[in-house]
Amino acid sequence: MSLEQLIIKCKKNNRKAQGELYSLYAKNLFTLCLKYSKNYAESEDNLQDAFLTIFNKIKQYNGKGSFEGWMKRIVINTALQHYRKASVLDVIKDDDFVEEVVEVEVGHVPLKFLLEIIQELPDKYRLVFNLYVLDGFSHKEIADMVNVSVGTSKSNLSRARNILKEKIEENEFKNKKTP
Amino acid sequence: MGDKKNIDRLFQEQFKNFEAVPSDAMWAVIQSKLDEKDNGKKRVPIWMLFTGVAATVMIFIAFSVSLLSTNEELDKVVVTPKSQDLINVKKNSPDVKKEVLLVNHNSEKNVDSELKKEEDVTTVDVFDLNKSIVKSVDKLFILQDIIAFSNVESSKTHRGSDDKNNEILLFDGKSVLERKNDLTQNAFDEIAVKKEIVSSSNNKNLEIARKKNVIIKSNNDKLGIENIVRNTSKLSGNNNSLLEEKTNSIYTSTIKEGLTITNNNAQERTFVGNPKVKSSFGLAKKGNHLSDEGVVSESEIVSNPDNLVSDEKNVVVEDCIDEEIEELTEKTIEEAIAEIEDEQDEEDNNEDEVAFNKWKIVPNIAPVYYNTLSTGSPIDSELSGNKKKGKINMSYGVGVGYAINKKLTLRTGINKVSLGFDTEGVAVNTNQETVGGVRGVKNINLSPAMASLNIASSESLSISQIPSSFSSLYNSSLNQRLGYIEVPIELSYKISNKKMKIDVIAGMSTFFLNKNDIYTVTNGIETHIGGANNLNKMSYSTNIGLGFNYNISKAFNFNFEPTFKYQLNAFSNDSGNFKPYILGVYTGFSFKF
Repeated sequence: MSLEQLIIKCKKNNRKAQGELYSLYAKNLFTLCLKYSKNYAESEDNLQDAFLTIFNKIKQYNGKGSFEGWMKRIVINTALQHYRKASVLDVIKDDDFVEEVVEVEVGHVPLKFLLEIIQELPDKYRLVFNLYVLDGFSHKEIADMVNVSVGTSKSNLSRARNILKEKIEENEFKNKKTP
Repeated sequence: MGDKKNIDRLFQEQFKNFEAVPSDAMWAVIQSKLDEKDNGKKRVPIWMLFTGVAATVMIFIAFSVSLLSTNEELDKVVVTPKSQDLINVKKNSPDVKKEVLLVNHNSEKNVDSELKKEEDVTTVDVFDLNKSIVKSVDKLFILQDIIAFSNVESSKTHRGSDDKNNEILLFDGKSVLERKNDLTQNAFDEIAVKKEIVSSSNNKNLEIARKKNVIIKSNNDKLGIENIVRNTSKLSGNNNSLLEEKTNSIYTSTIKEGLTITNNNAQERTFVGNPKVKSSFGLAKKGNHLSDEGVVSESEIVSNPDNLVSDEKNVVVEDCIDEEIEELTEKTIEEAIAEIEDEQDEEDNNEDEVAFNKWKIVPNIAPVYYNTLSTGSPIDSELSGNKKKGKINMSYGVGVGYAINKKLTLRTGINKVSLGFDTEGVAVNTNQETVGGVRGVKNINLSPAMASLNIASSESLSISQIPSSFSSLYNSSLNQRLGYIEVPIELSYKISNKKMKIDVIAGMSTFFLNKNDIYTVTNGIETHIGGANNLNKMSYSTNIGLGFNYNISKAFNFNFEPTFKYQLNAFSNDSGNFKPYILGVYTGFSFKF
């Protein structure tokens, strides 16, 4: 069954088709959830909410653009919903921020560790880092998605990078000490 | 030692092929939630069907009950004590014939056979007349006699004769009265007499009957006459002495108060053939000053029965001595008829009042205030903490009420309701360059022009956090406007029935959504952004209210009904904790019919 047919069936609320769609994309979307959430449990909650939203709103998907991209946005938005209430992002004037390249001197860093340190980031930093670095949104897009200025987005990203860098270097240092 | 690496690249490379598997139970959970939602959706049409059928059945029953009860009322009104006998007699003429016979203790054998031969209402009429006249007597104690002339063929007058074919039967009303203890005295006797006159005169010589307020019926059948003759013969026999003593006065009173001889076929001939009867008729018109001439003339009738229609046995003379009726006899026919008709109309009106006041129609208009009992938001859970401000809108429609009994009224109707409320302190971002598709506002289907709109609660942002580019929009409000067609089904119970009636009203309403818009209001400028996607197309409310009704006239009432309606399922599950209610003051004039 092609993706189009699957989508059509999902629009008709066909439970079997919905199951198929789930198994096709669950892994991919769950990864996304993991990055945007604090922990595994929250990721699962987000994935669940996201799929419910996907099935409820699938009629609104008009076939333009990537279906996967459409679903990803739903997942991201679901994750963002949790942080909207709180003022998760620092609001900084655009001028205050100068973009920098953060480099880190590392050997092999396991993925699990990277995921851990992302999840440990404060919400505001985690969101921006994920959106910008891992999911390729521009600062402008991020600013609109979370109702902040571009400067705020940039500043938060910078802060996130530096925290991550510190943690990676700290980890490297530990590994050196106890080889 | 590793290389220096851009931290972004490090993460990107590592996460490139990252895949994680959610727990196996995940799909089961999602599936069960989808099922829940689907079931919730499917329930609505079933409810709709149920309420539709229920409403139809209810209206049908209400109509049936009203029709039935209307008939009952009519019957009740018609069958009043004053005229019940008449109705019964008319309905059951064969039985009544027997009844007549029973009343007439001295029925003779051949009467039965004659009765069988004759299935004529005349007997009934005669009976009616008998009764009515007796009633009249009962009330007025004036009736002296009813004289029946029977078997004129024999051309002889006898007093208390045993010969049924040759007799003048004198009917002592007082005796009859004594034998009819069950007859009640009441003020309606006179009306009853008049009504019976009218009723029984339908196919008879109505004019004459009315003119004299004395009815004599025979409908050209011997039976009726013989019947009454026999009815009275025993009485007269029992009162022979009285009859002897009173013969003259009876005749006198007969003439004095009016003599009518009616007989469809024989009657006119009677008049034509018996000028003396006519003369006595004329005398009666002259009133009380009856001269000996009157007596003489009547005596002549009696003593010279040949002058009467000799071929007919059935001449009945009934005499009503009633002062009021006497007065009436002096009135013109027209007056008498008019009076009778007036009385009948009056009764008809009374019947109408009892029978048709059950229904009322109530056009109404009401200011309705819409607000929530809790802090939730139907638009987005993010806005649940924001201040909600109820709006006053209008409801108008028409209601129908059916009075089940004096206290309980079943009401339904149809109203058009507009509702609205504001969610304040909303930050609105309308940047067009954002990523399309999914937005932050959970429960709004954004209109195409507003596809990139994003909404947040400005209360969750501290002022310092609000960027300058955003500040003009941060204090917007969202105005949600709803329109419904409302079909209430309510019961009202009267707790006070004075000039100002007070009712307690309880029931439910079914709401059909017909308008669903959301506007942003920024600096007084309203912008339509779309509609809510979580509004149920059909929802219900429980209603409770107080009704104040002021009688302007019997048919018109002024109504004032403050009513509280609590909406049960206006929004589907994801409405936050929004508990909307409607407060309306329904005002209007009701018309009873």
